[in-house]
Order: sequence, then structure tokens, then C-alpha cells
Amino acid sequence: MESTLERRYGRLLLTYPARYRQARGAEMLDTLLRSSRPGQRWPSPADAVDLIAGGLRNRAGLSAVPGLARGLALAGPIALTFAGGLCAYLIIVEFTAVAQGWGHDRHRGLGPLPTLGPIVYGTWVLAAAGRVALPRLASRWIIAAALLVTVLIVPAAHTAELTRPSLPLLVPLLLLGLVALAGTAHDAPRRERVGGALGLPVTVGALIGLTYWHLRGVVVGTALVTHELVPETVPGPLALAYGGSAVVVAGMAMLVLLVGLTVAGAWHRPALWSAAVLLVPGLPLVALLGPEIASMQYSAWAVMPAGLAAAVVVLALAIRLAWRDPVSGLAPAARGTTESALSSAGSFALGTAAAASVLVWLTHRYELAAGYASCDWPGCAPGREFAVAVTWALAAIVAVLPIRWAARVAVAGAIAVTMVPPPGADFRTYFGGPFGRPQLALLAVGVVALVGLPADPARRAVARLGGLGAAAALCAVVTLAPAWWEIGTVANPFAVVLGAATALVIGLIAGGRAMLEPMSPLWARGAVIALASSAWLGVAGPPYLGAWQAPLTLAGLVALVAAGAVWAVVRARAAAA
Amino acid sequence: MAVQEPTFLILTALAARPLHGYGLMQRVKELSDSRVQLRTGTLYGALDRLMVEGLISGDREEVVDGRLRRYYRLTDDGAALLAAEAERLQHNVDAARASLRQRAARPARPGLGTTFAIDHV
Repeated sequence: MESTLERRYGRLLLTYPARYRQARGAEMLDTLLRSSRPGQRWPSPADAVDLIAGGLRNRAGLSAVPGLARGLALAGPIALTFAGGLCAYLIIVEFTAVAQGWGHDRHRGLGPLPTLGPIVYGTWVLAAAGRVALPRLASRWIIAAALLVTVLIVPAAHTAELTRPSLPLLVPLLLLGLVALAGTAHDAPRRERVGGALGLPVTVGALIGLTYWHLRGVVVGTALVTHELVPETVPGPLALAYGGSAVVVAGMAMLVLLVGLTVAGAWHRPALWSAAVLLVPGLPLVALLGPEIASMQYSAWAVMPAGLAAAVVVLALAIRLAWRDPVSGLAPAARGTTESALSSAGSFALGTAAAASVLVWLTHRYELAAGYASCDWPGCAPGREFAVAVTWALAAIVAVLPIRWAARVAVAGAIAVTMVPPPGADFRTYFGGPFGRPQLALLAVGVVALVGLPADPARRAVARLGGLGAAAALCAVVTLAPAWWEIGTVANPFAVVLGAATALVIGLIAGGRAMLEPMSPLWARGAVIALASSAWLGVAGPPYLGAWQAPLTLAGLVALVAAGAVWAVVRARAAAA
Repeated sequence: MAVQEPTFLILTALAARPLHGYGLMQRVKELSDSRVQLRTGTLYGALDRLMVEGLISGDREEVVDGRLRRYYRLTDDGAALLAAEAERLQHNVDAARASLRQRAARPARPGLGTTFAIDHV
């Protein structure tokens, strides 16, 4: 007979995945009912919160991936300290700029504040200080308040027509705050409080140091004169950082942090997981480094979503590779075999190639029609772009059909059409320089698709092919579309390179995983895929990638190290079992 | 690596004999003098994590009053970790006691009150 309380507890257990409920539901219900008071009719609020949080943690894989929970518990305080230090630095920069009469001519603030920025920054400094000084629960309320302020400042600034921080700053702050909130569920031990208290000034100091290094020798030049903005005093680096450069400096500091944690991961496994978690707020910041260093057109919207997409994919893949059945504690054999990893990488690459080539063709066509672009450069052939787009789109469709070898033949055809230079264009201009980047990106992605997709149609799961193709198309659209309406040039190499980057990071992980099994017949396929992916990200990068070389090589290396470490743990446990 | 207190108490509770969910909850409460009271969601999250890390494993199952009850036991890895952690804590306790003994043996420093007394002499 089922009591009211039992039914209500059962409803709360719905926050857990169905498979987990089947295995553990009855047992958990027994524990819940035994710990209830006689005559109790409603679950206690504390139990309800605990069950909902437990179900969400379960769905996130926190208890089913060894080391992930400890990595998050490390990433949370680090994210909070970084956000607090960054915000303290931004307050210093903003008021230094005001004091030196720099960059506030068009800004509208509130009372003594030059902009709304210090309100957002102040809450994050408070949140970081709260974790050091206050009990756990109180400090988490401040984090939640800071998150709320960060989100609400956007409509508030719009309504009141006041100046707010730019979105390339607010979005990483929001993501850092979410990691901080998720990773501070535990009571802060003394060590963590001391670390936070020391970490705040160290972060501020590092950011100021990086600012002086980054803006060394910058001369206030003619741009000022034309805007009739000659300041009374020559602004120093800290004042000059106000605006775009402060975000770039934050990206540099994040890069240092991510590399440091990844290296520390060799000795302390949770540090590696914390680096993987911090990629999510970190890569959108790090991604902004590329255009700045290259002094190219600056478009945060073209690179930030791509960095975020790449980070989420890498983290999800790392979790998936390390996932183990929480009930038995074993790595399920049917889940994520090496062959299906290669196949997934191939599917994702094919979807990316199709979406990217179609978008490039559409964008260029639109630009030529609207008069935004000219066609006077060698190798410009809108007809060729159309042919390339059609063959890749066809290959994506053919790969779903149950015909042996069909996928590989179609992909090989698409690669061939992409690689033959149009009449009148010589080989070097077609592949070299900025205009060659889309072709080379499609070649690398094409090789991953060609080798990754199995010849046997029975091994190509149609549902997964479609799903991955759609995900890849979404990634490419998110990456390329902002470039379409904001930068307005199809030859913008970053857009295409970034569209390919996510697919190639996945290729690196799948290929690297196959290479860890030297006896397997899949080894050679894995090696080719890893090579094609890393050649683009690393070795073949310098002449073509320009500024993207550093962050992309880093992303590739982080992915490789994370995948390798995770896989080594899984294998060691499987061997021990 | 340092183990969080709830984890340490769960491993300690299971070291003596296998326990089921509710029994484990009660035992952890007893061991910690009611300071640590695990709730069901937290307890099963911790059990899942410890199983995935190979520190505990499932033991026998029973059906009592028509409800399933599963017992958990400590694995050899879990016992080794608990022993190492106990060793580490013991070392810290010894160090703290030794320091306190040194403090007690040292003659007390003259405090503020003593200074005043001297001034008035």
C-alpha cells in the first residue's frame, strides 16, 4: 500500500534519470521513509532541496565521473577568486581612466559612478570576499545576487540609457559565476579561505602587470586629435586599458590559469578536471586574444560563441569518455567504443563541412549582390563556391543512405571539388594567404570525415549521424553567422577556421583515443584523423592561422591531455577490475 | 589527498560491517555525535561516487516489509584509503598535542594586569 508521503517522495525522485531510478529508486524510497517521522505527510523542505540537487548532480554526471566532483569543488573557488580579482582590477582601471580623462566622453553613469560597471564589479568583489570571510550559505547568496546583477544590468542600462560593461565581459563573468555557484556547495576549509584571501590580490597584481606588458610603448596618436579628445595628461597603461584592452588582458590571465591548472593536473587529477570545467568561462575570453594580437577587425561576437561552443563540446566529451555506471561502478562496454568515437568525429566533421561551405557561398553571394565585397582578387569564383557547397551538402545527405562506401565516395568527391583551383587561379593563391584558409580548413575537416565514417552502412547509426550533423551545422552557423552580419567579409579567415576548430578538436580526441590501442585495427584510422586534426591546429598552423595559432593549439593540447588522462584512468580501472 | 569529513565518516561506518542506506545514515550520525546528518540525496550521491572510485561496493540485498534494501561494504582499496587517512589525522593530532604540551610547560608571560601592578608599586 502506498502512503501519501511515499507518493510525494516518489515525485521528488523524478529529478533522477529513469535508468538510475530503476536501479536505486526503491532503495532510496526505503531510506527516505525510514528516516521520516511517524505520521509525516509532506517531505521536509531540506529533504526536497537535497533530492532535487542530488538528481541534478546525477544528471550532470558528477557522481558517475571519477574526480569530476572534486575538480568542480576546486574550479568553483578558483572561478570566484578570478572573477573577484578581475572585477577589482576593472574598478581600478575605470577610475584611473576617469582620473586621467580618458575614454569617458560618450559614457553615461549614475551619480558618482562613471558607468554602471562598478555596480556589477562591486558585487563580484563582495562575493569573492564573502567566500573568504562568511559561512558557506551566506556567501552563496552573495554569488547568486552577483549573478542576478550581472544579468539585470543589461535591460536596466537599456531602459535608463546608461553605459554598462560590454557583453564580451559580462558573458564570461556570468559563466564564471555559474561555475562558482556550482563549485561552492561544500564548506570552505581553512586552506581554501587562505587561498582565496591570497588569490584576490595576486589576481589583481597579475592583471595590472599584464596590462603594463600588453600596452607597453602604446603611443596616443592621431586618432585622438581627429576626435578632438586630446587629454590634459598623457594616460598611462592602466587608463588606456579601459575598454577593449582590459578584456584582452583578462583573456591572457585566463590563458595562464588554464595552462597552469592543466600542468598541475599531471600531479593532481582534480586540477585537470577543474581546468576542463574552467574552459567553459575561459575559452570565450581566451578566444578574444586572436583578433587583438593580429590587430585585425575586432568582433567579439564572431569569436566568443565559437570559444564557448568548443569549450562545451570538449567538456561534454571528456565527461562522456570518463562516464561510468553509478550503480555498478563499471565503465559500460557498449557505451562509447573507439569505433563509435571515430564515427562520431567523422559525422561531426561532415556536418561542419556542409554547413560551413553552404554559409560561405551564401555569405559571399549576398555580399557581392549588396556591393559589400568585390571579386577582383585571384581565385575569386562564386561559381566554384556554389559547386563546393553543393557537393558537401550532397555528401552529408548521401552519408545517411544505407549504401556501402557511399559516404566515403561522396566525401572524397567533395574534397576533390574543393581542392581543384578554379580556372585562372594559380595553386599558390588558391591555397596560400588568407584566401586559402577556407580551402585548407575544409581539407582537414574532410579528411576526418573520410577516414572517420565507417564504410559499412550498418555501423553508421543514422540517428546519430543526423544528430551530430545538426549539432555541427548549429556550431558552424553560430560561429559564421555573426561574421556575416557584423564583419561583412567572407574572406574573414577566423570565421572559417573557428567553424572547423570544434570539429577538429573532436577529431583529435577520437583519433588520440584510437591511438591508445596499438593492437587495434582502428589504430591507423585514428592516427590519420589525429594527424589531420593536429596538423591544422598545430604544425601546419603558423603560416595560415596567424594569431589563432596560440589559442587553438592550446585548445587542442588541453583536449589531448584531458582525453589522454581520462582514458588512462578508465583503462587502469578496467584492468584492475 | 584529504578526504571530506562526510566521506571519512561513511568509510569509517562501513569499515566495521556492511550497512544499508538508513543504517549508514544513523551510524554516521552516531559517529559524529550528531554533527553530520546526511540526507538521502547527499548520501546516495556520495555512495555512487565511492562506488565509481572503487572504494566501496554493493553487498547483499534484502526485502523488508516489501521494500528493497541494499547493503554496502568497504573494498580493500577503501580500507587502505581509510587507514592512510586515519594515519594522517593521527599525525596531526599528535603534533597538536605536542605543541599544546610545550605551551603548558612554558612559564606564562606577564599579561597586561601584571604590568599595571608593577606600575603602581
